[in-house]
Amino acid sequence: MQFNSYSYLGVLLLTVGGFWALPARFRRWYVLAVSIGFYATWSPLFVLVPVLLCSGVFVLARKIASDPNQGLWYWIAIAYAFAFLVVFRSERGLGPALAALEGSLRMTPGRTMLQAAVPLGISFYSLEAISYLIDVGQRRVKPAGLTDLYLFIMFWPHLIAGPIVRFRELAPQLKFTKNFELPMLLAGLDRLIWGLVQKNVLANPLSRFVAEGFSGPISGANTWLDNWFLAVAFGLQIYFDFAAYSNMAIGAAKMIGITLPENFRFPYLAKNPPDFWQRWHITLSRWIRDYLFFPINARFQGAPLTLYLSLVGIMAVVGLWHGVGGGFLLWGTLHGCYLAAYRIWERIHQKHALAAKPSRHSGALLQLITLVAVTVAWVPFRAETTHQAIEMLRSMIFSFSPRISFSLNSYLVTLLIAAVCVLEPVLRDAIDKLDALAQPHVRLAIANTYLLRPALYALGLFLFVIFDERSVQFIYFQF
Amino acid sequence: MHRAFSVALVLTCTLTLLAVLVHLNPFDPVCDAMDRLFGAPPKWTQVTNLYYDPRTQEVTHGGDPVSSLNALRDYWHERSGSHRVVFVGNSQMHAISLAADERPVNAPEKTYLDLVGDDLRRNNPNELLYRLSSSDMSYPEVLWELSYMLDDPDLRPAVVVLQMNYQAFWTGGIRDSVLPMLQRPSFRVRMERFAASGRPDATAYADALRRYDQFVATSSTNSMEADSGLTSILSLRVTPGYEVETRTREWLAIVSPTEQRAALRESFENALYRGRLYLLRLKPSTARSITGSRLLAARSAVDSIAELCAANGVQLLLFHAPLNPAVSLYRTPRDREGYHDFVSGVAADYHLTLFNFENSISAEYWGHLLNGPEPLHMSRTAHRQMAKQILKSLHSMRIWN
Repeated sequence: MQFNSYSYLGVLLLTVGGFWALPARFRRWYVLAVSIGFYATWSPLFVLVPVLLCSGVFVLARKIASDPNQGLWYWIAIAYAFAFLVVFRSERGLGPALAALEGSLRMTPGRTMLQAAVPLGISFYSLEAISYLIDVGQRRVKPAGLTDLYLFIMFWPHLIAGPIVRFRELAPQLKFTKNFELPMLLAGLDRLIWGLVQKNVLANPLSRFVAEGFSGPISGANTWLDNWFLAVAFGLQIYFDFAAYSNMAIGAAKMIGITLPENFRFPYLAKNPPDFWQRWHITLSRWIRDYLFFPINARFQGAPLTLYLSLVGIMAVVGLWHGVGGGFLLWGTLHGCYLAAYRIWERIHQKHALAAKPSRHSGALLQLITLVAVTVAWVPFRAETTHQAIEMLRSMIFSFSPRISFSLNSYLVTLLIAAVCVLEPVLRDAIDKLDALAQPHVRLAIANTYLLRPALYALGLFLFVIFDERSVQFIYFQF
Repeated sequence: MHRAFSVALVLTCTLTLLAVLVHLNPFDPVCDAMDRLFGAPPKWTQVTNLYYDPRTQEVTHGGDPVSSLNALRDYWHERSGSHRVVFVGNSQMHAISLAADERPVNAPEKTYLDLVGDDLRRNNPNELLYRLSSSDMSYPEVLWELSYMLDDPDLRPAVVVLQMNYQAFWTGGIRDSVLPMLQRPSFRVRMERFAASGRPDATAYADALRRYDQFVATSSTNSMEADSGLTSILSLRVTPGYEVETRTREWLAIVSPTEQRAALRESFENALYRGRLYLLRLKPSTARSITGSRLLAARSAVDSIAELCAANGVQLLLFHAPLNPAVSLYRTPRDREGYHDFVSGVAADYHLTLFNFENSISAEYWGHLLNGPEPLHMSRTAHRQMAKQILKSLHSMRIWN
């Protein structure tokens, strides 16, 4: 059940209604049942995967907690959770075997063309399990009860594609002790409906152009301008697609009183490469920072060369987290190089006691360079082969041509959606200001709640409905 | 109680406003307002009362060609010994845009191929003509539809007359409306072969096959197809989530018909298109150079069409579509040269006859489209002139007895 499907929206409405109608003591079980049911709509058999992961993690966390030396059990537990990621994500791993079993048992469903034979969300919830085990090992959290752990991992809004949450930020909320408040519901609807618009109106219309432009046999004939536009179009598509999912997840959770961490903060307005990673897939970035980058660099006490190498290496691993392939590796490595280059630049800056803050012009230039660098890196991420990626990048750098190959509308739509991307923070800011303005005045607050909000929701749903295309899946479902 | 009432009020207001938006369609008034503001010609200049005959026309204009071809199959099957000629091209074949001195008439208007068909039937009832046209038909799509026809003995023509149009080399891809043709397994095998050929146009077929597979995976008719064996060919089954979604959509289609939603989207896109024309002044008649991957794919598809016809013993004729002399679609003389060289090259390589009607209709016989001269659709008089020229050319070729 996709978040942008009509059935999900209907089920969500009923789920939220049921949640608030229930006495608080039943809500945990209710949410757990809904979450398991939600996952089973993709595949009943694959529900076993997160259940198995949680059960193992539950036992191992207790072993770690009882082990004063943080020794063998700690590493066994990490290896156990990590094994899920490796075994199910590998092409010849357990995923395809389970799918085959499902088919042979004639269990509906088997895999469809829309799904790889991989348990959905495995990359996300195995990272959550690993972070929990590390936190238990480092005595940051106490081992959780089984229900808490199931709820933490399987809470449906973040189960399939994040945000990647930490036990200590989600578990206290999973007591579901909050009382219903209308602003909470409206905040959830705001995010949910904006997510629907992002997915159907802003991400999906770019998918044809991107698919045609990146198709292997003919992409070699793309011109310089085609390739730049394709890189921009894919950058916009993946942003709006993934941000849409995150917004819908955050919105759904908010409607039952749970606050999930933000995953995006207008990433294409980043001022420099590190800033980009504080705005793009924020919950993955902080996972990498806290559980990989800091431990590695703490060991080497911030030696510059180690820092640079670790940045490149860790970002290469981030690339591989998306899938085993040269393109993902190249994407990650490029980002690692950007981060390392920025650190070197920063170091030179400090060494020569240059201005503490860059001037307005140099700041804008750095922002532009960051945007271009990020856009360039999308090419290997999306290309079908590394060879194709290199050919397209070569064309983007060396073969200037103002000519275009595709329908003019493809380029215009890309520009239009880019304009929306630039205006998005302005729109968000305007709505926040309007809320703040309306709050102290009763009549304005009523007009805002019962007129303006419904009007915006209706407009969003209207656009969502007319741009509905059932066959376009979320890009991050494949990771 | 108060909280529940608040929530119900917000949801009711939202759904009411949504219903109002769906009912009112706010984009049509926007289009009309822009047309008035920028002085577009009256709507009646685009003729809507057109002659209709499913025996000689793909009447859905690309919307549902399978149903049209099914009707044709029945008709041609009853006339199995007849001589069949199919004209393939874009909307120039089925649209009329009145010129400045023309006024609408009450009787249905005939396009040039309707007039050619009338002439043929008068002389020999065994001569069958069919017009396979749709807006912006790409050459990969032409190959797709011709392959479908050649795959069925009752749809197999003796002669294919293919319109060559500079704009069509800009167009790419296969539309969703022709995907149901893949329900015929033998046709699917044919297209899979094209998709695996590694030629530049192969991507379009591979993409269409993939989209169809996705469509089948989400279709409510999936269980029926499973019985027919198609699902086993595609190795597809559906998830419970898809089943639920399918049922929801079936219910939704009753509340708000799919066509209504498609019409709303079209209105929205029309409003954007008018913005492009009026504000950015980027018209369909704006001269352009065609290059890159689409051109490569289109050229490859034209080659594939020629090969397909040759391999199936079908006579293929090419003709350059008429152009409005007031509009130059070529940005540079090199663009014109490149286009003509390519088409002449294909004609020479495959020993095909090529007619050139590019400059056959003078500027006064073309209408206006929104804010500029019509680059594609001809007037009533132009259609009559074109019919005469087609008849003259094809009689000279002894295509018809």
